[in-house]
Amino acid sequence: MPDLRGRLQDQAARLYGYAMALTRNPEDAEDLVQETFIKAMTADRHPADAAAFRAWLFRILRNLFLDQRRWAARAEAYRQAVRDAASDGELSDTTHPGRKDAAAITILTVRFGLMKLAPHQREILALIDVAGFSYAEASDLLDVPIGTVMSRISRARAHLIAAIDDSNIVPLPTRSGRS
Amino acid sequence: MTRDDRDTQETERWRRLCAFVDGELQGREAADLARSIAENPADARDAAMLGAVKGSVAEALTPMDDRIPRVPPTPGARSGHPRISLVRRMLAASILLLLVAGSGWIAVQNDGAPPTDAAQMPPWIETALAQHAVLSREAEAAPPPATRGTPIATDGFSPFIPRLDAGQLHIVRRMSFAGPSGHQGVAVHYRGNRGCKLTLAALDDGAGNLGEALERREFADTTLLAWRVGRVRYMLMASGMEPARLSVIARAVHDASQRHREIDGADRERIADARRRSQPCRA
Repeated sequence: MPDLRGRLQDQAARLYGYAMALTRNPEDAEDLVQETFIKAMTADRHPADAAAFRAWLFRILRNLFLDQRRWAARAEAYRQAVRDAASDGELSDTTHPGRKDAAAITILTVRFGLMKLAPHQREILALIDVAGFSYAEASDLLDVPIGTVMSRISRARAHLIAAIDDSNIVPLPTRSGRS
Repeated sequence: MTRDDRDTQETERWRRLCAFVDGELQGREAADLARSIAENPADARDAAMLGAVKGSVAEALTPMDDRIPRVPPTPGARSGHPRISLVRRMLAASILLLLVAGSGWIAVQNDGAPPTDAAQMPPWIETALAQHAVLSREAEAAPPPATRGTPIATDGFSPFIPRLDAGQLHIVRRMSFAGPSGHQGVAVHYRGNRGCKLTLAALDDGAGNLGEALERREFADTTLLAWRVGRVRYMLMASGMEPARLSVIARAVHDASQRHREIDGADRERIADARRRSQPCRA
């Protein structure tokens, strides 16, 4: 089994994706992941089982985000940053710099679609599609019934597709027949 | 069948397709849906679309390799006793701030650097540290909405105040003050979102014997860097920030103040990189 730092690094990209879904800001997402690492590294103990370890890490990140969100100043700074980022064009392709091809445009389209979703919808998409959690694992992490996870993920995808359809950037090749 | 019934049926079909794409259906249920997808063009189209969306979400939120956050060095490796040391440092910083705010200055030795005697402390340093303490406390007590680095002018005195957004440090407080001999001064306070506190003060007092190069002084958890630009004395103060990161910021601010232009792209990169490599501030 790799050491703790190795185990953490293995989860870094997925944690970042989840943090992006929560914060919608690359710098804040990176902060959140770094704080998660530090919290994990200073914990008295950590799960040996891979799945439990992953769930533990994502729970740390989520709790850190919720704690920070309760801090009014940070929330205000975050809103300001989002406004500034929007006005400065920082919502461009920051995680895929230099990619201007169709794939990058599709990614950008999806990212703008994600921005339009409710926070809990972005979160469930990140947990299932990025982190690779099962519905049962997501249910446990979010402390909601598994039926709620099913509802959230299906609604989130429907809304995301609708948001992409409404996007004036470029449509995805496949358009939904759903209204 | 009513419209509500159709909507319910459609919702259930969509939910099952999502579950199928996510690998959540098992056994007979999965086999039935796979057959339906094979036979029904609408199910096939929606399943393909859901698969494409699932992949796109993952790609949209997953960073390229060079942006994947790196695990920091083991916290214990820096101090040897991370928890106790951190608590003690925080406590020491708090006590110092209380002493400073209440009854004058007490400068203490830090990390083997020569102690700075409070009685010998130049008045301009006292004044600058006071601005840092006051602004830090104000920002702590009532954090305002972030205000970005707009030019500051006070009765004709307009020192250069750079933006440090690249380091995720934003101006949250600004004030004018009088120097030891009544000269005009301006101070701004930057805050990060990892506990970092930074104050830049500028004093229009002719700068005395202060040179144009950076001069560094240590006071408990606060580091002060000073330099002159013309007749203006600039002082940058940070609490709890890693020295390496502070050095990068100080050099960039120093250069920007001399050129009276915003920090250039290369320095912004360095500032952002220094932040990524650093631990959260300890103040």
